[in-house]
Order: sequence, then C-alpha cells, then structure tokens
Amino acid sequence: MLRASVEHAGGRVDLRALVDRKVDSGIAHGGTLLAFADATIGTDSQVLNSARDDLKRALSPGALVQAAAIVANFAMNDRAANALGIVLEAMFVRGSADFRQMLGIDRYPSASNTLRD
Amino acid sequence: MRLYSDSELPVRPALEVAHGTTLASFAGPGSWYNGAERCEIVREARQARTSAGLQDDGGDEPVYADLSPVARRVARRVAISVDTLTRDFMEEALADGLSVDEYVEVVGVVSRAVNVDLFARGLGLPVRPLPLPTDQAPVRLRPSTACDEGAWVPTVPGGSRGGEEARRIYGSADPQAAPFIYRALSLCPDEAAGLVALGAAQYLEIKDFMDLDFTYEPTLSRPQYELLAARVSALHQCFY
Repeated sequence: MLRASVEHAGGRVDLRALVDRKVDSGIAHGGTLLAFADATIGTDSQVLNSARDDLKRALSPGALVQAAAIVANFAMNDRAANALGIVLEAMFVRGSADFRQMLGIDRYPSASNTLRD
Repeated sequence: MRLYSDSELPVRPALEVAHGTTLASFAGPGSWYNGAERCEIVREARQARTSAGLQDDGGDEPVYADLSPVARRVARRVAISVDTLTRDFMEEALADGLSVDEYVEVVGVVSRAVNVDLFARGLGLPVRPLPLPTDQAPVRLRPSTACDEGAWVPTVPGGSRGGEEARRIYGSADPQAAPFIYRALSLCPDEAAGLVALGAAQYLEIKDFMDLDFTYEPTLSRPQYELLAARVSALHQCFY
C-alpha cells in the first residue's frame, strides 16, 4: 500500500528506506517519521523523546498522535500475524514480488507461511 | 474521565473509546480465560516489556491470578520478540499443554495490550491502568464455522461461509471485509473483533482501505501512514 499510495499522490518512493535508514524514502518528512517509528519500537527513551519532539515540530501535534496510533496498530497486527502464521492475500503477493527480494522480505521467517512452494 | 486526560495532545475521541473498550475487555471473560487470568496475561507481557526496556513502566501490579508457565512463556515471547514467533514455537507451547484456543487468546490479549501500551509510550504517557477483573466465567465455546484456511490455527472465514459469527466479528457479510489479519484471532471471536475495532480507530476502516486519499489526520498523509506501517512491519520481520 505504500507504493500505491505514493504513486496515487503523483510521487515516487524509494522502498530501500524501509530497511536502510541512510536512504531517503522521497516522502515528505520521511526521515522524521521513520525515526519516530524506530524509537517507539526501540529501547532508548531519550531517543524517543527527541523523535517525538521532532515529529511534533515538523508536522503537528495531531500528526504525532496519528503516527503513534499507526505504529501501535501495526505492532499489534505483526504480533498476531507472526504468531498465528496467516497467509498474505494473493493480490498482495503478486504486487510485491519485485521489491520483496530486493529488500530481503522473502527471507523473513514469517515469509514461509505464504511462500510455501 | 477521559482515558488520555493527562495528555496535552489532541487524542481523537474514537481512540479514547477504542482503548478504553480494549482495557475493559481484558478485565472481562474471554473465550477460555476469565478476567483475572486475562489481566495476569497483560501483567506478564508488561513486565517482560519493561524488563527488556521496551516500555518505561507497567507490570508492577500485584498478581491477578495463577497462570500456567507455558501461558506466561507465550505472553512474554509475543510481547518482546515478534520476529522469533515461528511455528515451532507454537507447537512447543501446544506440546507443553496449552490448547490451540488458549494459545490464540494469549496472542490476542498480548497483541492488543502492546498496542495500547505502545500508543501511550509514543505520546510520552505512562501505561493505562487495568480495570478490576470481573468474576464472570469464560465462554468456553469455539466458533462452529472455524476451519483450516491456511494459517497455523483454524479461522472463521469471511462472508457466508463464516455465518453469523463472521458478521459479528468482521461487521459485514462481505468476504472482502475480512482480510486474513482480521481472521487471524477469530478462533477467539472477541479477540478478533477487538483487533478489528482497534484497526478501524487507529489506521482505517476496511471500507476506506482502497481510498488512497484517506487519512484521519489532515497533517499526516496516506503515504506517510503507510511509511510508518511498513517500517514497523520491517522491524518485526512481518511478511504479512
């Protein structure tokens, strides 16, 4: 959905930013958002405090709340998906084949639930 | 009192309602565990996350209930180590005496608890306290339409195959309204319905999924939404 939403908005995204923080995603304030996601999931409270302030300043207090909601929601979904071995829908498997290999996604342990043969 | 009244940030009412409902659900009966046991599952998960440095507080409440060692082990692992949740891990838990239904319920409770706790952490707030557990007994009923749909555990199909249970869990009789992430926890219907409700409040409702302009917050675009979502899933090595 990331690539589709960016292309819908008339832009381009460098998906390598998802696995390499040195890469610019091409999305406005992408670095600030990625830093916030990493810090919220991570263990350093001081880094999180800075990331939170940066996001609020760069975007808005409302964006900070919504970003926290998105990060938390996917932390939930990822736990349920990985712990229960659900299968990715075929339309998304087909639509992601070109970048999964490049980003190493096909090597995730959870990939075997979908890529069985 | 509002759940996030201690925050100066503009938390949408829908988030407050969804999170308040989630916390209350832990204190009430589930499919296989009672409220005290479900609160103990949350306490175990919080304690593990605090010990691992993944959150700053939580887990220091008094013990709510006895819980089997294997249920505690599953709660801790799901709470802190998302990328290591393999089928072997689940099979070991089942071999050690957890039923598949109980396994699903522990996964559901922990996943939803981490969600609510991580939201608070993201805003710089302490974890929200749990309500006092009720003394109602668990339902102890597996949904009759649960079947093998390719996951490690039985799930309730969307649409007519899922019957009335599907309509209740997914909020629609349309099979398109039940992507696999919604069905994952459906062996314990209230856990699945809880995940769906949180997703609708925090991310989007399924009807808005293909509306690529959709956003709850005008200063955060849909591509920015999706960048956050994709990064979290990459950090967790979640293929889905």
